[in-house]
Amino acid sequence: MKTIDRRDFLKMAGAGSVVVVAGVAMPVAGYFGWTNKDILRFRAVAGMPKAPLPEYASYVIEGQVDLHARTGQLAKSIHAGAPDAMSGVVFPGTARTVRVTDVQQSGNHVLITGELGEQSNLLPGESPNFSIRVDRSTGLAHADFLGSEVVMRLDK
Amino acid sequence: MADHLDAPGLTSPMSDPRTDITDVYAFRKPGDSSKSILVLNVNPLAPALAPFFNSEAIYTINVDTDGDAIADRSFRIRFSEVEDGAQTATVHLAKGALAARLNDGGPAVIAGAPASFGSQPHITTRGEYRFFAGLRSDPFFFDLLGFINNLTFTGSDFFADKNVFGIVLEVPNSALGTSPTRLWGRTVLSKNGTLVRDDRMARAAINTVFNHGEDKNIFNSIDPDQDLTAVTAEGKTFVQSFRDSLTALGGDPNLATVLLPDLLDYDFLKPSGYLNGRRLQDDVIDISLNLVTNGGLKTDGVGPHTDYLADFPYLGQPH
Repeated sequence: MKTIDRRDFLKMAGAGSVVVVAGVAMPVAGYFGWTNKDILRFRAVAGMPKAPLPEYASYVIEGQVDLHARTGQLAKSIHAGAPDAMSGVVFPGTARTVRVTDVQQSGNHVLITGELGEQSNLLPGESPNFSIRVDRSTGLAHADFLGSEVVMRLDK
Repeated sequence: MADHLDAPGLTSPMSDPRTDITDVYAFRKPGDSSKSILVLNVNPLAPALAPFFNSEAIYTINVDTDGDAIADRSFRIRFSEVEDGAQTATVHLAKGALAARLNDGGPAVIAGAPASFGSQPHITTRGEYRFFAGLRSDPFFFDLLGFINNLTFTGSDFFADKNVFGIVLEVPNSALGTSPTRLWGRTVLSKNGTLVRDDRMARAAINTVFNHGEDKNIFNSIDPDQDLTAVTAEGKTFVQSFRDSLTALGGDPNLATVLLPDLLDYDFLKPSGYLNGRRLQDDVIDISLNLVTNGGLKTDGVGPHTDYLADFPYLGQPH
């Protein structure tokens, strides 16, 4: 018997029939901040679905962008478990890499746009295009989730 | 989900997928109304999380025949230790006071039945009983990602390619006692020599939808006869907690005492179909959505799988 962990699910990813972990090696840990004046790294999380339903899952967007070069790499995924009890398990078919195509900064706001690295198996309502608006002043971010806008909390 | 991964954090109760109940079904045997089919599915996403049954657990299907939410009959399945990749199962039928206890007992109605971990089902027949246990296609259907997306359903069936460990019993109706009955599944683990309640389930999507956080564990640790009086981690009764959730969902809060105690009504003298028992093809999610939202939501857009078998063990071949 095994408990759920990332390694187990990575093994099964090839079978395509089971929950797989985000097979995306992110260069940064999950927190929000600047490594220097140009590099912004962050992790945004939203519990899904919203109350009164119990939060079953966590929508996670994380990565880093270069504000000067206006490039970067992000990953998004849907993890099992609410944000306060998030597991390493990612729902199958939800892990995506995002190639950043532009970064616009205005005051405390950073608008990041890009495109998904894997576009052959989009989920219903999922766009191949990506955008997230990060607001440093509120610690919140706004992004698309399968066609609906969600408000996400930036990890400190 | 029906009851898959119904511990906090979308994990298995007591972190043991082998005894994590996913669904319970009960229906009259097609073509023979003198017999019933009882199904207890466990091990979500099998065999990814666990390749075998737990040899130290008791898998039970409990039957209440007198309306007190206490088991009067109990089918108790135990599995042998794994030897050369194989396990066998024994099924005991406990009655009366014995059925209300956690420990197994009663006469064996099935013994030495090989479990099936491949695509071909090993079926064991003894007298009027038939038995199957092993890897099968998960019959449950639900747009899980639509649920996560705040009930924005798209008709995408998350479970279309998933497997479970199925435990299927064909029994004479007489073994269930008098009709109508009320059923539930229960798994029991041995911890340091003591039997402890692990997971339980009757109707679909009760613990998974109505209970939050630690309340999921509490709910699994009590029996149906305690559902009306037990309290949540916050100190309110489960009935009040369910009332609050129903109100928030736009449903009728009085349904709380219909949903609790959590038992699956099954009158084997009448045709089967949710909420009289549950067949594999019954769309329990659509029925539940309608019920708890008072018609506000009618469907997740997902229908039954097409791989159910017409004959025993009824569960489709594993993917």
